[in-house]
This record gives sequence, structure tokens and C-alpha cells, in this order.
Amino acid sequence: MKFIKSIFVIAFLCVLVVNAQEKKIKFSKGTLKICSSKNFVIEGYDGKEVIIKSLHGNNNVRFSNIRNGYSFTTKGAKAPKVVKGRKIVNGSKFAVVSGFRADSLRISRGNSNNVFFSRTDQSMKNGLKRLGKKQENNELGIYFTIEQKNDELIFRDNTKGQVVMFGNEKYSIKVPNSVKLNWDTTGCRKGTNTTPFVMYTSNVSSLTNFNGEVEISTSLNNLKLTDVTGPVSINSIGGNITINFDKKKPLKLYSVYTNNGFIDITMPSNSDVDVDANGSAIYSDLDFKVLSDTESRGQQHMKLKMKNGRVKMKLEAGHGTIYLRKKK
Amino acid sequence: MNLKEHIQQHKPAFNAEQMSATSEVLFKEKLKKELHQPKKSKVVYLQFISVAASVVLVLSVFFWMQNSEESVATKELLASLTDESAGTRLEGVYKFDEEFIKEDSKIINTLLKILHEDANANVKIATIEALLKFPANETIRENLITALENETIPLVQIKLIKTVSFLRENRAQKPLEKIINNKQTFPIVKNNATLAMNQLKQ
Repeated sequence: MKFIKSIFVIAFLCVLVVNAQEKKIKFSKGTLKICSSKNFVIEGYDGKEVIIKSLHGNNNVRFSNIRNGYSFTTKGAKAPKVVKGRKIVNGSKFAVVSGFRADSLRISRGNSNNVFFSRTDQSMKNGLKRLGKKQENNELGIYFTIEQKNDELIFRDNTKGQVVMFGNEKYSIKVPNSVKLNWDTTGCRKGTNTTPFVMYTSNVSSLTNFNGEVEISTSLNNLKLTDVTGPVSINSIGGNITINFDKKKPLKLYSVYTNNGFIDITMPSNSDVDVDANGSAIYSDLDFKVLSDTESRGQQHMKLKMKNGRVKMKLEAGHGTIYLRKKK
Repeated sequence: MNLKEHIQQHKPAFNAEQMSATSEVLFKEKLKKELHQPKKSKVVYLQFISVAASVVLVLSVFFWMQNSEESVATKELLASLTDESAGTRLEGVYKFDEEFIKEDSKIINTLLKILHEDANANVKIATIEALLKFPANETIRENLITALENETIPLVQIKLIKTVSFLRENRAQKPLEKIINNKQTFPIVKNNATLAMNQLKQ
């Protein structure tokens, strides 16, 4: 625990490189497993490659001073130069670390609470390419590990060096529709509350225009799905789930469980669905046939049907509210 | 005079005379008794056999159809419960919850396996809900307590905690205590466990 606590005091600076380059991985059959709390914008397409592109472009990295649960400080760190380079922007909610050129900062960790930063002359590597397979991703601005085994392609947060790249990291990923997506924002570490670095970003991660099977697990991250036809299973402790059917209709099972986030679904009025909803309150402007309507222990439970009720939608919001909207 | 001569002599009289109705009936009865009796009883016996066979056939076809329909539905359900796709497994669990009334041990055992081993939280939560159809089943109750002891996914833990509290299962106090005292337990899970513990102690 002492070790973990010591990690909390590390003020880590990301050096993010604007890089329009993409990483393409041939993968059209099997499961894409994303074990990361980072911000992803995922889109389905009819192709045979998984295409990753980093969308983060700022040289300055922002750390929220009001972030719940985690604080970042250099207190106790024997790195006076870092403190010297740090300035608070007046009126801002963020502490911005500046005064460095992009890609010029290096961080290393010595004993507990000792953080060392060093600067390198950027111009020295001009015209050269970083060697080593592991460094290839860093050059593309990709700060998670990529592993392929059997029929699984796994993206995982790199926590081995007790340092996780975080901040405004954002990635675009194009996924073939033939692939199954298994996305776990808790980093695929089920049930352990010991992860020192979990990034709860206010940015909503999204999945768009995907026809394959989807399994998503989140703790507090908010999610937005657009034109994802199913089957979909989502579970979240406190994340809000927004589901839009803009150009498509639900075609296969939707199963959404959250303990206290809201579930907000917008779908066409001619959707062929059978909705089994349970939440603190249920709101809708859709023309449902009400099959059952019960309430117990402050929970509203309704079974609703549109057309023939071909596609099952099981929505369990716990203490959260369920909104079922008509697409306009 | 023998009989032959007597008949020949009185032939016109014999021809003119009508046979009495009584003797005709008696003669017919005698004739039936002597000649047709065995044949008739055989026919009746065969008729009885064929009617009985038809009834048996109809009944057996009816029961066979019923049984085969049931086993096809069960077979399909078991196949979906063990499918690789979480979506298909979920469909199976929801189907069982809505359409199956009988306690089928094969299905229950498959659901209990899901309860302990499935990787998808949605499938596990849906399974717990489905198992609650049989609250008096001791095997199910015991398995829910064991699952509570071993489960690590926070959302599933919360569902199990609410379930043992709903079942007023006092044997769950020990695993609840373990969850409360575990430093790795998520705060929201701990809160639910504390609440359930208080309710069970009341």
C-alpha cells in the first residue's frame, strides 16, 4: 500500500506528439479486446484491418485540480526544476505544465517520491527513426500495448513501469464489422480496486456504425453508441449510457445494466422492440404498448412493446433513470 | 313304411304346409350356435384388439410428440446457454426466465455453471434473476451464497448481495462480512453489503 500511495504523488507529464500517421493491423476474424480506461472513438467499417490513430495533439498536458479520487502533486519530489517550470493558469481548473518543447521531456522514477525529469536536444534525432519494435507505437503517439494471440487482438494500458500515460489521450479506432468487440474500461482487472492509475475522463468514449457483437464493461466512464445494431451487452457501475439509432434500427439483443447511471435511448418510432425496463423512473415519447407496469421499493418496472417486439431490450438502470426517445 | 316312402306319399301335403315361425327361429338359433359361433367371437376379439391398438397408438404418438417437443426446446435452450457468444447466452437466459416454468435439473445445473464461471457480467446478472424463479430450491440458494463468496465483478457482487438480502438468507452473513472487510472491495459494493448485513440481522 505504501508503494501505491507513493505513486499518487507523482506528477507525470505526457509528451504527446501530433502525428497523423496510422497503425494498421490485419485482423478481420476474432475478438478485439480493449482493456483500457483511455478515451476511444471507435467506428465500424467493412474492411479487414484494425486502424489506430492518435487524436491527441496538445503539447501541454492538463491535469484537473478537482478530479475526484486522485490528486497529482509534486510535493515531496526531489525535482526542483519541475516545480520551477510549473505554473497555474489564473481562473483555470487546470494546472498546466508548460515551458517544454513537445517531445523534449523525459521522466524517470528513482526511489519513492523521487521523480526525475530531463530534457534532450530534440534536433539531434532529426531525420532518424527510433529503432526497436516496442518503440514503434510511441513514435505514432500510441501509448498502450498491442498484443495479438490466437484469435484475439488485445490493447492494454501499460502499467508495468508504474507510470501510465494519461491526460488528454484520445484515439480513433476503425474496426471491421466482422470482428467481435470486447471493451473493458477497467483494464480487464475484474474486481480489484487497487489500480493506482485509472483515468476517469469527462470525454465520452464512443462506438459508431458497428454491426458486430459488442461487450462493454465500464466503472464510471460514460459511453455513447450510435447505429450499433447488436447484439450488445453493456455493464457499468456509475457510467451514463447513451444509445442513438440514427440511420439504423436495433436488430439484435440489447442488454444494459448500470447501478446508478442513466440509460438514454433514441430510436425510430417503427423499431421492432420488446423493452424490459427497470429504473428509478422511466420516460418516453414513443408509442409503446404497455404489457406490464409495476413498482416496488422505489423501482419502476415496465414491459413495453413496439410492432412485433422482435428485438429484446433489457434495460436495468438501478438507481438511474431510463429515457426512451423518438428519433426526430 | 319307412320315412322316405311316407314323405313321397304325402308330398303335396308337405309342400302345401307352412313351417311354423317358432320352429324357423329355433332352427336359425340352432344354426347360428352350431356353425357361426366361433367365427363371430374371433371377429369381436379382433375388433377389440384393433380399437385398443389404435387408442394406444394415438396416445403414444401424442405423448411422444409432447416429449419430443419439450426435449427439442430444452436442447435448444441448453445449446444457447453454452454458446460462445455472450449475446446468444443472454438470449437463452432471458428465454428461460420468461418461458420455462418447470425446474429442469439439466438447465438449472447449466445456469449454476454460468453463475460461477461466465466471463460476462450481464449473463451472470440475468442468470441470478432467472434462478430466483425457484427461491425454495436449496441447491440454488447454496450456490448463490458460494457465488457471493467468490465473485469479484462489482456489479455482479451488488446483484448477489441484493438477492441474498431478498431471500433473507442468513447463511450469507459470513461472505457479506468478508466483502465488508476486504480492502479491495469497491466502496459501492461495501455499502450494499453493509446494508444487506443490517437487514439480515434485523
